Amino acid sequence: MSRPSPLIFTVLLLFQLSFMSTQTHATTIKHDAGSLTLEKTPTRIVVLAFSFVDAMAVAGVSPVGIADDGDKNRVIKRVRHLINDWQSVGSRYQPSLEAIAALNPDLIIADSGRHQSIYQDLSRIAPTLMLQSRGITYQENLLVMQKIALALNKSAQVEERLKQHQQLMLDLKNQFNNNDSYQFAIISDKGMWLHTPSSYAGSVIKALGLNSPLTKNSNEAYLQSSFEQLLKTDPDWLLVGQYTENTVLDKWQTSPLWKMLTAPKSKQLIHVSPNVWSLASGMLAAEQIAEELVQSLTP
Amino acid sequence: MNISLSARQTWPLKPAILITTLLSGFMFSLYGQSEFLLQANDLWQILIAPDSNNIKQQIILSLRLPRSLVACLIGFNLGIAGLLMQGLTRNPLASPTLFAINSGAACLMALNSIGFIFFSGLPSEVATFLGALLGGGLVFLLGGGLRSNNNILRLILAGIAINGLLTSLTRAALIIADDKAYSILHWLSGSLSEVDWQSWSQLWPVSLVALLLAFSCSRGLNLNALGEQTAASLGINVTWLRIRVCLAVLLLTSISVTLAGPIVFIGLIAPHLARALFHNNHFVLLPASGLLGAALVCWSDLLSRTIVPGAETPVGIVTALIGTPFFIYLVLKGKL
Repeated sequence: MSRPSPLIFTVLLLFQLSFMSTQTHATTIKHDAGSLTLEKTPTRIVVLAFSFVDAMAVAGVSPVGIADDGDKNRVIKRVRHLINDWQSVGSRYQPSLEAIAALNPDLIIADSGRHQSIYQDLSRIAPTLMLQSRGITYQENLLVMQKIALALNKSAQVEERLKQHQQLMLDLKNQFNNNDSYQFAIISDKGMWLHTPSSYAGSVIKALGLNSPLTKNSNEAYLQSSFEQLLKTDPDWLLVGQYTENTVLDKWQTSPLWKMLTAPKSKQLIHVSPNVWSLASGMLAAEQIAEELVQSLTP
Repeated sequence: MNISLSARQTWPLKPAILITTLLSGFMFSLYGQSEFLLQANDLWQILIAPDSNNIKQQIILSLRLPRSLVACLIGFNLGIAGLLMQGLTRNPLASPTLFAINSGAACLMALNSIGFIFFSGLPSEVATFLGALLGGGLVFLLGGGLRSNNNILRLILAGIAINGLLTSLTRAALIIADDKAYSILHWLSGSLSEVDWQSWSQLWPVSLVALLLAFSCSRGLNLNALGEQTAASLGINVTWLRIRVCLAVLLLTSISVTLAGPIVFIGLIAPHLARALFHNNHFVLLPASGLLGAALVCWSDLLSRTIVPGAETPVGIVTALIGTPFFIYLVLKGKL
């Protein structure tokens, strides 16, 4: 066996040097599964949660693939208008690894609340960021959005937009001058779930300085509420997002107790889109939630 | 002579305790654990001074009363269904769960919720009831069904197989449901939070028919306890008995699971308690097991409201918490 020629060493050394020089320009992002170093700005990005799509729309970058549950309408309108068309990579609960690999991405952004078990598989396809989306609050999401901006090398732009957002939220906040309580709830044929201030919609309501009718502090994001508990909670404004055609409200409305609730009595029961209020959980969604709340003030 | 004397001396005591437990549970559940701080006095006020604008009275009349009635009748149904299953199979471990009724109901309910092709148009209650009948029917047919001289072991094995199949389908549906999964999961644990007068009007007619059918099997089950051949030689048509018992169990459990989801362990605990309290006579055991089941569900529902005040916790969680240690106790005592 011949000894390796000095040429090979030189080549290896040069290679390593060039590698090191690019690394000094690289960005390192701390995420929920360690830290990820990106050597150049990614351009083909696949995201596996709706709040990440929102963050990318803010940064002005279009993802090539989204885990949109096979339904493009699940991405809310104001986000859809800001990005180019994308390929669906399956559902959020079980994204298709093949579809993701076929898009040949250079960055995948996955939900640490949902995709922990496929992190290794995703990392083999492309560098993967694990960030929180499921069960996130309004404030937490703003931090996640800034991390995504860093990865996309759009920090300055997003920072600018964030300032606008904060100004908008402040302006909207100043339009409320009542002590009314506001409650968002998801309703289906199985029951009603109140979204507490630990949920996304609840934390947006809280950020606007509005009261929650829930007196007990709870770490639970969602509380199932029977009719009796709703009567006790009795919010001044009740915003409901409906998942199924028939809901428990249909039954409750026929009860003599229904007219004892404040919200329907003062025509402050409002139907809103569960996609915006519960699924989206991004900054642009928060703006829409806030605007819808303000609109409700002027019938 | 002595035995009959002592039985006669204690006989009013045990039923009296049983009925008191049930009635007190029923009364407490009408006003207990309320955020509105309802009191026993409010019950009295309804009787002496009804007032349709009083929010407390309205809550008791239109929310609490149907819920308590449904809880009791469902408990009664499940207690009887459990006893029928154990009497028929002569197996102390048998319960309505064996008939895959719960898993069938759960499966079609979950498929209905995610909008699966065939079931998307059906109201959720109809799909659930069909699922219960389907699960039970499949086990009954696979397990030997109408044939005489069939092996009871075959019924049990069919139950296990069908249960496994339906449960895995339900899991698949749950994964697909994702965001809606928590409402389905809630239902899967068995919950009485959404029952109302409409549920009651759906529950009692079916229950009445099924209970009459169940009570008509008392003599047959007493003789069946001696063994199928003995029963047959004493003039019991064993196949006909099996069909009637299966039909009663199917109806009792299906209507209960449709309205409140699968409330587990009642069908197992109530018959064992009934046997421990009373002698082995189905004329006594059937009502006793039913009353015990009613008391158990009623008190469990009351307890379930204390777990997270201000929110609903599924009653099935409480019955499972009571049922599991009880089951271990039975095993340790060598009663099984």
